[in-house]
Amino acid sequence: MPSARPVAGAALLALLATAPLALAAHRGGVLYVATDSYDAGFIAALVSHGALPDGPLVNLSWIAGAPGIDAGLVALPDPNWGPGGIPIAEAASAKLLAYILGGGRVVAGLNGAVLLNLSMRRIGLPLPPVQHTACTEAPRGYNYAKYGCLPKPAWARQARLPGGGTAYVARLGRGWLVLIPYNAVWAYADTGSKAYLEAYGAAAVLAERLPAGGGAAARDAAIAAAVLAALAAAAQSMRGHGGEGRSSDASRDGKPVPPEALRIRVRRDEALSHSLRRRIYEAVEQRGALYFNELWRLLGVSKATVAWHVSVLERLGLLATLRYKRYLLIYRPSSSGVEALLQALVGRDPRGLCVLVDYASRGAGPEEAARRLRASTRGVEQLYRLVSENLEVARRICGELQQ
Amino acid sequence: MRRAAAIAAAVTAAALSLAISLPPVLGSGLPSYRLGVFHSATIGYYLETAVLMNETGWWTSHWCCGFQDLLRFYPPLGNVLLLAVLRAAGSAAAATGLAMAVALSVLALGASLAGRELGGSPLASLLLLAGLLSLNPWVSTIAVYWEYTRILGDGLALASLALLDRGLRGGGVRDVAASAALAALALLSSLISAVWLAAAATATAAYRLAETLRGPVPEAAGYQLRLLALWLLVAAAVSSWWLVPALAPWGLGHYLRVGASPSEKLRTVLLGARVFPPTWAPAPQLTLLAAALTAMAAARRLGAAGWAAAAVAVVAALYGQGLRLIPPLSLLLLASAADATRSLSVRGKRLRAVVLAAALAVLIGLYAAHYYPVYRKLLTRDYSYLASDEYRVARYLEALARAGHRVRVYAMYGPRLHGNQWLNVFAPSVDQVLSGFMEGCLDPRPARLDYLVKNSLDYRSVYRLLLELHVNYLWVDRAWMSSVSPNTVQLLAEHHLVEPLRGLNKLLHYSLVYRVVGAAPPPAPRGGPVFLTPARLLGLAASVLAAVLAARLHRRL
Repeated sequence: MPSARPVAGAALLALLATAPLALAAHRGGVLYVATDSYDAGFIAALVSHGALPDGPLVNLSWIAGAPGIDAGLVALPDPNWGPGGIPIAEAASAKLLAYILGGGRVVAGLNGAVLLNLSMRRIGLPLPPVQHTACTEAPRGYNYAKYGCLPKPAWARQARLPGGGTAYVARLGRGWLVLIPYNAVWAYADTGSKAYLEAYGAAAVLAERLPAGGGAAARDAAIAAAVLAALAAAAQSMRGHGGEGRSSDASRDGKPVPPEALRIRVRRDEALSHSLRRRIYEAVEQRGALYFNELWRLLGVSKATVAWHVSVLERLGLLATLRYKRYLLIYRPSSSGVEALLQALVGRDPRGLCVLVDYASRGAGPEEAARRLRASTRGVEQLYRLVSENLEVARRICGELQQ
Repeated sequence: MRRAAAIAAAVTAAALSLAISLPPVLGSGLPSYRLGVFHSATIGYYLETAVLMNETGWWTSHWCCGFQDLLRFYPPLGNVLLLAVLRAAGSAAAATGLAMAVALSVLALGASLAGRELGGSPLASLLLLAGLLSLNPWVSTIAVYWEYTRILGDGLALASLALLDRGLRGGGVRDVAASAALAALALLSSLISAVWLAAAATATAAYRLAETLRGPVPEAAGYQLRLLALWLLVAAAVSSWWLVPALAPWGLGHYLRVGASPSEKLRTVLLGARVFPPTWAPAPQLTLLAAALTAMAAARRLGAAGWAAAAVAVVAALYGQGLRLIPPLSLLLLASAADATRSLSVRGKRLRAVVLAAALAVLIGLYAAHYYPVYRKLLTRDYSYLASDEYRVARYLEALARAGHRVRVYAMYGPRLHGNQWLNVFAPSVDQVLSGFMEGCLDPRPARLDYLVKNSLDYRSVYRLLLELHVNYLWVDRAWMSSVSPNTVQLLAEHHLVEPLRGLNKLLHYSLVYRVVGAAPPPAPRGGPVFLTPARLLGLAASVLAAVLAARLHRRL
C-alpha cells in the first residue's frame, strides 16, 4: 500500500495563498472531464468565477481512448456513467490512476472518487463506503442525506481548505490525488453558492502545488505496474464490449467539447434559468438535432431572439450549430446528436450529404465537393468536416438511404 | 481572488469618495476663494439655479430680463438634485459639499463598474479609481472646477456604458434597460457627458455586433439590434421631455457653436501642463497614456473599451469642446489597457502582463502621490467668499431690492469677475439680464446687450438697449476694461449716462458698479409662466411615445 506522505499544514496554507490563475501558467494546463451538461455548467462556472483557468473539456470516452494524458492537472468534478458505460468508466479510471502514478495530479469530487475507485479497489486501495450522514466538517447548505459524502480513507490525509471545508490528499506513486469528499456540483446546482466553486478551485490549487516527482518508492512502481495490468484488462474488456470506446449512452458519450465553450461568462445555471433557453435546450436534447426554422416555429418568438439564445447555449457548449448551404442546424454536441443531425440533413438534402460522404471517403477537399454541389465552399465545409470526422455513421446513413 | 479584488475595488471606491469628498462635506462656507478658485467653481451655476428655485418655486423671472421659465436651458438633473440637497441640508453652503460628495460617489461607482465590465476584472476597477486621483484632467475637473454636473454625468455615463457592454455581451434585457435609463440621466445631468457616451456606446455596440456577426450564429445580431432599439427608446422616454424643448428653439448648432480650434486643442494636449488655472491638460499624463497604448500594442488587442476610446478621441478632435472629453477618454484608455493586460495573462504571457501592470501601477502611484495634496488644497470650503466682489455687490443690490427699489443688473462674466454666476446665490431677489450660463433666452435682446457691452464701439446703442430693457445697474470686470480698446468702454466714461457708485467701488478689488442714469425700474413680471409651449408638448409626446414603444418591444424580447 503506498504511503500518504505527510503534508505540513503551514506549507499547504502557504501554497493555497497563491492565486488560482497561477494554474494557467502550468505547461500542461487543466484538463476537465465532463460527462453531462451539469458538469459542463459547473466547469464553466469555475472558469467564469476565476476559481480555475480555461482548459479543454473531454469526456470519459476520450480519457479511455487517449494514448496518454498530457495535462498538469485533471479535474473530475462529477463524472457519471450509465449501466452501458461501465467498461468505458473502468478503462478511464485505470487510465487516470496510471496518470496519477506516473506523476499526474487529479482533483475529484464525490463521483470522481467513485470513478477512481473502480481501479483503485483492484490495487488494494478501496474507498470507504459513501455515507448519507455528515462525515466531515460540513460545508454549509450541502444535503448529505440526498447526496452523501465520503469518509476519510485510511491512506489519505485530511487538509483544511481556505474558506471552509476539507479535502483528502493522497500521494499515489509519483503523483497526487486530492478528493473533495462531497458532491460539489450538485451542492452548487442546488444552492448557487460560490463557496463550492471556491472549495473546488482551492483543492485544485492544492493538488497543483504539491511537490512532484523525486520521491517515488519502489513499492509505488510496483503499484504502477499493477495498475497498468488493470488498465490492460479494462481495455480488453472494453474491446470485448465492441464499442471502440463509444457507448450507446449518447448523452454522456460525445466528442470533446471545444475549449471555447468555457470561455464565456454566462454560467450554465443562469443560461438555463431563462425559460426560452430552457425550452431550446430541451427541444434539442429531445430531438437530437433540428433545423433553425423548425425550432423557431416551435417556440413562436422572433427569429432574432431564437438565434441569440441559441448562440448563448452554443457558447456554453450545451448545444452545437452547423451551417450548411443556407440552413442552420442545431444539434446536441454528442455522437447521437451528430447522428440525428445527419439524419435530419438526409431528410432534406439526401444527395448533398451522400456527395459529401463520397468526397470525404476519397479524401477530396471540400472545394471539389462544393463545386459538385454548386454551392460555395464556405457553405459546405463545416458539414464536410463533420462528415469526415464521423465517416462511419455518415456512410451508414447514406447506405440506409440507398437501400 | 476575484471576490477579494471586488471587495478591494468597492472599499477603494468608498475610500476614494470619502478621501476626496470629506473635506468639502465637513468644511463650512463655499468653495474656497483663494487663488481665484472660487471663480472656477462651476457648482456656482447650479447653486444659483437651486437657490432661485428654492426661493421662488420652479418658475423664475430673474433672468433674461423677466422671461419666466421652468428649469431653463441646461440639463435639469444637477439643479434638481442640488435643490433637494439644499432643502435637506438647510443652507446653500452646505449643499455644495454634500452635492459634490454625491456626484463623486456616483463617479467612483461608475468608474468601478466600467473597470469591471470594460477592463474585465476588479483589478481594472482599482486602476480606473486610481485614475480619478492621478489623472490631471480629473484633478482639474474635480478639484479646480468643481464641475458638479459633469462629475455626476460622467459617473452615470461610465455606468451606462459598462451595463450596455454587459447587456450586449450577455443579452440581458435588464442590463440594457438600466444602461439606457442611466444614459438618459447622464444626458439630463450634462450634455457633454451625453456626447462622449453617444460616441463610446456606438463604438461598443458596433464592436459587440461585429463579434456576433463573425460568430457561428450571425442571426443573433438581430437580437442585439433589438436590444439597441430598446436602449434608444428607454433613453428617449426618460430624456425627451426635456431634450426636445431644449433643442427645438435654438437647434443643435447652438450647442456646437462654442469651441476651440484644432490647433488650440493640439497645443493644449501637447503643451498644457498646469492644473491651475484650470485646463484639461493631459501632457503630464502622456507617460501614463503611452503605457496604456503600449499595453494595447503588446496584446495586439483593441477590445470594446479600446474602440470606445478611439471613438471618443475622434469626437474630441472634431467637436468644438472636445477638450472636455479628455477626462473620460483617459479612463477609457486605462480600461482598455487593463483589458489588454488581462488578455495577455489569459493567453499565458504572464511576464509581459505583470510588467505592464506593474508599470501602470507605479506610474499611477507616482501621479496619485503628487496630485492628492492638490485635491486637499483646492477642494475645500471656507468663508473667503465674504471678501469677494461678487458677495459685496450682491449684498448691496439685495439690500436695495429688499428696500423696495426694483433692481435689474447687467452682471458681467469676465476674466476675474463672475458676477452673473454668483449674483443670485447671494441675492435671490435681484433680477439680472442673463444668468450664469448667459444663454438660453427666447428673447434675443439680453444676449445682444451682452455682446454690445463687451464688443461694441457704439456706446449709444448700448445705452438705448439698457433703457429699453430697464437695466438700472451695470457691473463690470476691471480686468476686462483694461484688456479692451478704450473706445469699447467709452460708455463707462460718460458719467451723465452711467454713474459710478464711488462708495461701493472703493471696497471692490476687481470690478466696478455703475447706475444707469434715466433707466426706469424693471416692471413686475406679468402673466403666468409659459409651460405648454409647442416644443414642450412635443417633448412630452416624444417621451410618452418612446415609453409605449419600449414597453411593447420589451414584451417581445
